[in-house]
Amino acid sequence: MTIQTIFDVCVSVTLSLLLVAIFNDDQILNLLIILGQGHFLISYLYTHKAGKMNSLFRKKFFGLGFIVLGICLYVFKHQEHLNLLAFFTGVLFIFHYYNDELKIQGIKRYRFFVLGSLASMLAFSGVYANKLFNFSSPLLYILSIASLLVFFYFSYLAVGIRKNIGNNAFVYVLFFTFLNWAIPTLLISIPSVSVYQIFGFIILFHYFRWYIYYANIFKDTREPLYFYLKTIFNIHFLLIALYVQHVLMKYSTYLVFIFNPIFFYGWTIMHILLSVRKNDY
Amino acid sequence: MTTNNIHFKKILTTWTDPTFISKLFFSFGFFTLSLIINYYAVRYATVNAGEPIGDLILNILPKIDTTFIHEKLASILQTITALILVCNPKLINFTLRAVGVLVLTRAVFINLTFLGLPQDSVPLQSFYTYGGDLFFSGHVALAFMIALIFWNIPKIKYLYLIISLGMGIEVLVGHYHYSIDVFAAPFITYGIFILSKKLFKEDAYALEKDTRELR
Repeated sequence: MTIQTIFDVCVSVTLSLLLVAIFNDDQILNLLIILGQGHFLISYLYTHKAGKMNSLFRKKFFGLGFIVLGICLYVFKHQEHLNLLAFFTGVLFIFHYYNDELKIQGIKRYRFFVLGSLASMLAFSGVYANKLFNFSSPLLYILSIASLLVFFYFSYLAVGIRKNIGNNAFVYVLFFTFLNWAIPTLLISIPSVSVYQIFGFIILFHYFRWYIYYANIFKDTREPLYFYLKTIFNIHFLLIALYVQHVLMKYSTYLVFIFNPIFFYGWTIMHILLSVRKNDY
Repeated sequence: MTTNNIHFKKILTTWTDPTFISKLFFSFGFFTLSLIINYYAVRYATVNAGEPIGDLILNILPKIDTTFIHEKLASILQTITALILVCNPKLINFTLRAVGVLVLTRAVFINLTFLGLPQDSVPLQSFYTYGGDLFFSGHVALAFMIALIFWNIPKIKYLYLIISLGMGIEVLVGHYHYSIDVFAAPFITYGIFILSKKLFKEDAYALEKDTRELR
């Protein structure tokens, strides 16, 4: 773990904690939607710049889009399923954020790393079930114990590849996976922490990590850095303006497909499934 | 390759250019910001509107209900304009910015003097208008601005000049505006168009070049 990594993680953690501390649940959700749509747009733009938006990608995009749109429209009509959609999206996001964090760290991937994401998903599904559905049955603790067991097995396998990936990467992977078990498990016993604060922190951390990651890549190259910073500004300027218009027009226009939480969960699912990298497995 | 294929390829190339897309985000954001400022400006103007004043043409013209044209047809025209721009993407950035400047200028003008609504006017209230936003007519100005942007493409130019004229007649017949709101609109719009060309030189150059190519 280099000084740069520690600095980047600290900045991301601090900004994320600050934002979830100062805003209420509704504001956190709106912030996640605005920054989230920005994150998706930048992701698609750079996928296109890398020449990866080929015919196969487009087929996946539209095919998945139809299915996800159908699900969102169904939930839009039957809002009693909203929390279920939020739960599913939140857990799927943990898989995405775990794998992306390892990619940002530049850690060489092994197949069994999927156990790390599984341990994280199990732990977070417990805290999400607790917060979203007021779930407090013993199953909650079974999830936490299962997550811990998967973590132990993951650690056992990780010891075997320590020399291949180096001590720094080994420590980071174990510590990161451990935190992904410990923090959600701890949060179950803190009722004052809302699910939006948990979503908010994890998601904002993920956004900031990516922005800082690319800024580091471009920082020594003038033109790409300028284009990158300008694009981030332009996208968020547009999204904030559109959001304000959405509010002023009383949430009754096409912008509902961008800013309504249900459709935002749909866009999130699409982004996660379209950004799965074959090389990670 | 046929001319249509070449043109389609050019459109696709522009739409997939990352630099164009990045610029479009800003232009669209600027345009949306102008609409938000307009939202508050029209409400402020309406709340502070004074008494109706005399008007030579409104005194002569009987009032006719033109709500359908004022609202629905205007929305249809917006959609048609959007489609024309989708097919001519290089003009989008300048159009959005120039229209943004037009909306912002109008937001200032409508609050300089608090004109009262014309006698027997039934104000239409929406996100874009609140009734008391009078000088100058947005319907006339917007159509005229599009005509100016597409000045080098005769078919589109004449279409929007006719629309602008039609809107002028419609708002007078519907008693939505005073005649000065309508007659001043083209002149102010022309000034804003020239100002926009100076403010957005790069986009204005692209506008000039591409509309001549499309002729």
